Amino acid sequence: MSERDLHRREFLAQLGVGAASALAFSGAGVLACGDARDPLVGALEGLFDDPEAARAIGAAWIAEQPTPPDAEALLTAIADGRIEAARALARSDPAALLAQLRARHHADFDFGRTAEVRGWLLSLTEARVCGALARAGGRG
Amino acid sequence: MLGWRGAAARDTILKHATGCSRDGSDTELRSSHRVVGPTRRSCGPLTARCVLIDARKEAPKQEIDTDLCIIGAGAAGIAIAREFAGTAVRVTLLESGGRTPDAATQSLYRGTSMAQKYFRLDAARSRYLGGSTNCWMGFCRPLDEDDFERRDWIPHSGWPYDRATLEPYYRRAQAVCALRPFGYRGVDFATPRRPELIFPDARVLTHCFQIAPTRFGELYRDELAAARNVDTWLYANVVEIEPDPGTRRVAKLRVRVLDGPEFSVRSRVVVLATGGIENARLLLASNRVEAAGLGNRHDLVGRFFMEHPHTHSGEFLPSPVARPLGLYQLHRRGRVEVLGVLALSAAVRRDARLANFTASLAPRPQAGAFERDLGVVIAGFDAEGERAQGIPRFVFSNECEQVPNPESRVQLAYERDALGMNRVTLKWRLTSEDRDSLRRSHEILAREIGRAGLGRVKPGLGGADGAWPADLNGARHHMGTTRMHSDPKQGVVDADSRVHGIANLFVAGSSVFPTSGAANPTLTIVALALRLADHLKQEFV
Ligand SMILES: Cc1cc2nc3c(=O)[nH]c(=O)nc-3n(C[C@H](O)[C@H](O)[C@H](O)COP(=O)(O)OP(=O)(O)OC[C@H]3O[C@@H](n4cnc5c(N)ncnc54)[C@H](O)[C@@H]3O)c2cc1C
Repeated sequence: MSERDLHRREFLAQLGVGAASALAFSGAGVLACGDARDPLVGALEGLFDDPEAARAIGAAWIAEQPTPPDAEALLTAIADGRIEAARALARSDPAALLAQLRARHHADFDFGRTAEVRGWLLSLTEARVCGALARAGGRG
Repeated sequence: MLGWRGAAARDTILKHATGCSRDGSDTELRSSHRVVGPTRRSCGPLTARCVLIDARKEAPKQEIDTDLCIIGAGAAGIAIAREFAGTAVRVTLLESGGRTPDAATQSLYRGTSMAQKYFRLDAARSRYLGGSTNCWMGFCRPLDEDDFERRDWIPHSGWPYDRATLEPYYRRAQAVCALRPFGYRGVDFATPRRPELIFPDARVLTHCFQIAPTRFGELYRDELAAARNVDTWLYANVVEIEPDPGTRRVAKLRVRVLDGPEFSVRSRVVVLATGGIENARLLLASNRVEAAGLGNRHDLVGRFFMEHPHTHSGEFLPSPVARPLGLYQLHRRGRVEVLGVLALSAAVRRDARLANFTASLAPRPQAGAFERDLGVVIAGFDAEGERAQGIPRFVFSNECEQVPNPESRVQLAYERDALGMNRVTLKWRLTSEDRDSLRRSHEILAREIGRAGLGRVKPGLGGADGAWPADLNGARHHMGTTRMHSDPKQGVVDADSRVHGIANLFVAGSSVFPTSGAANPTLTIVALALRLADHLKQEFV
């Protein structure tokens, strides 16, 4: 198994465990992507001292994409396809979610999953998170 | 043949040899080179002489006959001459300039530069006692181990020996250059207040420069003047190295004084140490016996001219985790200043087939709005959202290895200088490999910095369509024009720095470098000079 697979599995496992407990606890339903009250978006905002700055970077990144992705697509990509589990984890243990995202962000550089924004090299996770916040905040 | 100075007189001088004050105050520029007997207060009771000889005022009437003649009193020439001070070997050091700069002598360095934009040639070196150490910046660092290796992705790479061979000489060179003890790794200078940036798997390394702009002329002139067996001639320009008819040996040197007389020197051994451009010029201009010039049977003299392409490109926004960055800012450490630079490890360069390069961090004015926002994002991912106020911004100051290129060269121009010597034309030629190597190095550095959580990089050269940035220039490091190789078809000098096929002619200086690495050359020049001196000592046994 490659390191990349390992990482993905860890991430999914974390989401799985978190999601199960969170869902059991809250019984939360599905939220529309891009909803300002989306717990996932809220958790992502928690990454930054100033989420507005992240939105600005996200908007710049989206503007450079040939096919600008929408918020749902970005959040789904961030959650590695398991968006509801990610939302659940965002509700139950946002710190764990953010820790996972940070680890993935560093691994992105390792595996060449990078994005360019105005020439700056960012991890793909980083660009997507900023892009998702921009979209959810009505920018980009 | 009788020497210009009788053997008896020389013996007297050697017997009476004593030390001379080295405080730098008492060296006299004398017009007489043959002052025997106590002449000067400051030189102690038994002192015979304490002079540097001014060839403008008194050129020798007869041919000088000596054991070791060194042409050029710069870093290399002085380092070798000092090694022989106080020995029984008669040394003649011929220096074009005086103790201070003068315009007429400096103008002998004028030349034309074609191809890649370059400095004016007379502004890229100094022509007086001490050579270009009169104006150098003093950045010192040895070449890396793999710089000596043959790397199959770098054409013409490989020295005839490894770095371990040079290691003891590097250590001795530290003292000659007035540096601290040998130590150039990040760990040698890191402190809690100036930590080293640590990268996963050590794929990016920190090298440190020791910086001491030691003026060799000022520092060592008294010592040279006091050495009874060393005659230092100032204003003495070698204009031709004359071989014997079979060009197996140097027969004599023709020396000219600007607006003055001409004289000649015969020497058992000759060391050419006039700098990386001038070494080639003098060999090429010594073309009366062999039309292509001395040591040039294989058309190599003057070719493979290398510089360290230097540019500011690639931006760096450090994350809060990466700070403080004090190790990477110029700071004093005892008698030297220190500067940390980033470099890709040898393994990374091997895998990616890259030439060597280092990046120092040049501070830039406060970031604009976009970079400030990016600073917040970086802090969010790398430093758990730590406040990202006042984020510093840097641009990489890149010093690159130039891939050896036979079309990059020094040639004789038609125009002649005031001494009648052909001036030089420099054709500094870079290739797309050089540019591509820096571009890819930046991409890797950008990934590694991101991966280590130390910040983000805007890689690249900054020029349009992947071109070099407008500020690209050299670093006034002139290398490769008399390259070293054991095979005469591939090098001008052999592993002992002897010109192939000419038994008593040696070359000192960065012109012998087969590859340039990414480190400034002078520490290596001095190490090589000390190695050559050791070799020559054997020749005189
Ligand atoms: C502005 C500047 C900054 C630099 N900064 C650095 C740095 O930070 N680090 C570093 O490692 N290097 C630096 N260098 C390069 C460094 O100065 C040289 O590598 C070093 O001085 C070369 O030593 P050398 O003895 O081979 O030649 P030189 O020091 O150039 O000495 C050659 C000597 O030969 C004499 N000469 C020339 N032609 C003749 C002739 N025909 N007859 C008799 N004598 C002759 C000259 O007058 C001179 O004294 C810098 C150079 C410059 C110009």
